[in-house]
Amino acid sequence: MPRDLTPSTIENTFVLKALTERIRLDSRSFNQLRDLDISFSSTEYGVVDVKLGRTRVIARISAEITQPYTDRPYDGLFIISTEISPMAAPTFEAGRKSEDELVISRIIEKSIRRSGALDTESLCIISGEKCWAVRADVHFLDHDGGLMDAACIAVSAGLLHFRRPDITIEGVGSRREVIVHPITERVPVPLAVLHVPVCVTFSFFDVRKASSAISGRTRKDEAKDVDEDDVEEEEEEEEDDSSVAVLVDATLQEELLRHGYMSVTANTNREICQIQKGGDMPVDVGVLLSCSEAAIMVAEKVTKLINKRLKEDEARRNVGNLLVEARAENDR
Amino acid sequence: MASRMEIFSPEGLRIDGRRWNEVRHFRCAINTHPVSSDGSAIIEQGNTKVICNVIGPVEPTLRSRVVPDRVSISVKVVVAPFSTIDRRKRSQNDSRIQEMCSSIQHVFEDAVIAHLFPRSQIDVNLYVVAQDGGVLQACINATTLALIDAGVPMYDYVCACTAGMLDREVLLDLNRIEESDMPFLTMATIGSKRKVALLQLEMKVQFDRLEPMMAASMSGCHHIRDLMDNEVRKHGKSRLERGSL
Amino acid sequence: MEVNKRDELPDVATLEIVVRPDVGVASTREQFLQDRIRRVVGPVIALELHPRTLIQIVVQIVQSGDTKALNTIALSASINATYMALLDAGVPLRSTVSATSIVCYATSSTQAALTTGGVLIDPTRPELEKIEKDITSVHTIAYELKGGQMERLLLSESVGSFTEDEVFECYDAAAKVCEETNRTMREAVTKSVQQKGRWRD
Repeated sequence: MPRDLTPSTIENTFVLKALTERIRLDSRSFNQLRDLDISFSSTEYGVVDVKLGRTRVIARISAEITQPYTDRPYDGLFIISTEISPMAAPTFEAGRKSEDELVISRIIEKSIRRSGALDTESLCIISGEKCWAVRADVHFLDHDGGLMDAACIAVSAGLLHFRRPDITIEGVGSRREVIVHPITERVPVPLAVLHVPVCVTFSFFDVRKASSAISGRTRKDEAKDVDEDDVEEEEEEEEDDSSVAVLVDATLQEELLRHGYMSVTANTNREICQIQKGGDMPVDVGVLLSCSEAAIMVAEKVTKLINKRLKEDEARRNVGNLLVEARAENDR
Repeated sequence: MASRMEIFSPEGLRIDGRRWNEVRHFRCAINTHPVSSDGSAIIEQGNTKVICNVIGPVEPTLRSRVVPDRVSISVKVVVAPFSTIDRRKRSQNDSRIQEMCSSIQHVFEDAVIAHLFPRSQIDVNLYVVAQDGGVLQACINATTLALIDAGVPMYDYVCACTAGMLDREVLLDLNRIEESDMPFLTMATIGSKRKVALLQLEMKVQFDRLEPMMAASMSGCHHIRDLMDNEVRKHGKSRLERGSL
Repeated sequence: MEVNKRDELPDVATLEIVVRPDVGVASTREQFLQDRIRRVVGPVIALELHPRTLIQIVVQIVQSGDTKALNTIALSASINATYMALLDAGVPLRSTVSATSIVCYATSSTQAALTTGGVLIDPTRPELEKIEKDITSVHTIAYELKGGQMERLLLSESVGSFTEDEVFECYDAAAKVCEETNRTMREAVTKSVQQKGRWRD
């Protein structure tokens, strides 16, 4: 199987040099997202195609009726499956979890499931007996960095877009029966989505390291400096903000070269759902805080786009017969 | 039972009698397993107890782990089935444990002076003997001490601490009951500065609350750093006196 | 692409096919699809030109046109998609491939389908759902084409009860559809090549 892609030294120095001059290779500014495109399937509910630059992710939400877990009779099931196939990039092996994949799936899990984006209690039909199992399948079709960001947006948008068939419960006691009305018969019901989490990944580059590497100082000298001079460390502290380049929404190349990253999931209620900063590069607290704030801004922007696309989609569906019929039924 | 307990009383006392900015009883020892490993440490933070063994730097057993210009660190975390109230066997493949391993690995790959040992490997084995909240922080602290004991050169101490937010109150260094009741973050810092190596937050929290939480855990980290530093110096002194160095 | 030591073949390229379902995790159904795609595409690819390498084909079903019990459309569409992807990747092929699916069903007037039943060529999902209960046999047929003309039969996958005449009928119908599909694919490829080749001008 192919090993991890390792960028060449030339690439490395080139990208870093550009970053010291505050230039990104795709001519974006440091805090600029790539073009984000969200489109919904015209035939089915809950199928979302998210394109973030050249990264492409499809999320598909489906629901079926099952039995709830015995220890949580009032909760429905919500599963997010994020298996990365070699389709995204040949480095991902089919059927074997890589470390990256693990991190991605954990972050998405935390961002959406643990933050309670979907109200699982609303999925309960008959407590302890029947409940909806909502399943989100995330397909990574193309990998150009920011897989988790794209996946998170896709699942969030998918949950908002998805409609489950309406149900009625008939009978009493143990003889209760659940009747599922196909979506052609009754207006399907949207899911109870409590908030829209949006994940944003920040990549950190140690520009100081880069500039010293370029100026010909070896890393050994640099290490010595840090060890010996306390005076110089004081200076570094002042430089800190300029020595760290913070990039939003890195491409694959930037992702492979970065020295550290932090992914923040935020929503429009100014809430932070999840922060994950891997232990890579030590970064000043202030930088982390400003990143979190930036994440909220991004979340607002993305949520706005999702809502806009949802409205457009609804308008498109309204043209068809389905909703017109549905509205007639509502009037009655 | 749990509902009757007050997490944070109006008098400003927590379940175990601490104030908001107090860390739990911190006990550590290094060089606890001198025969079986190159470096070892035991850490107790309240009722959480972690043992760490460090072996290396050694030649990597797997060819795939060879990194040409730096040392690679492999972390294994074993959570003892008797470490919690409910005896449950956790497999090595548990995704939470794997995530913990990977984050510890990344923290220390950048904390040790990695280019001094190219093409070699450091094995870090962590045993969680008892858990009462803050397992990740205890693991990170234990690894720091064990690496120091093993004589692996590092830039500075890596110290970790948790902080939670209950309504508007920040609580430092949570135990298990507190952890299950409020959003909390784990932060690891390098040295006595404001450098953050690791930051993990798992539950929803208002953005405005983030800053006080981070400030609190930062001060907790620095406090723990002092405690660990004391222990290391004490240990060094006693070994010098015994002349075993 | 570099091949895993374990799967390396000394004289030909290793062919790895991964099929991923639209919902849920891969099961026997995907294994079945993988196997069939390998049977069809394997002999067409000039594997001997790239010994000790890996040709990896990943098929992701984005939207399933099949009803639950069937996977004929998935198969024919996968084969067509695989063929197009191979063309795009520049993998040397011996000939062109095209596949289609045919569903025979009993009309309400007849008991068994026999030859009097209806035939659906290249069905869509709503069409399938309408006749789901009356389906008697399902055929997936792939042809090897040369110069846009049907040359040899590559795959004939039939499920259900049917007569000999029916099968032959299906073969003829499929040949026509395959040739048609091939033309469409050819157009698409020509167009994309023209677009990509613009830098030449």
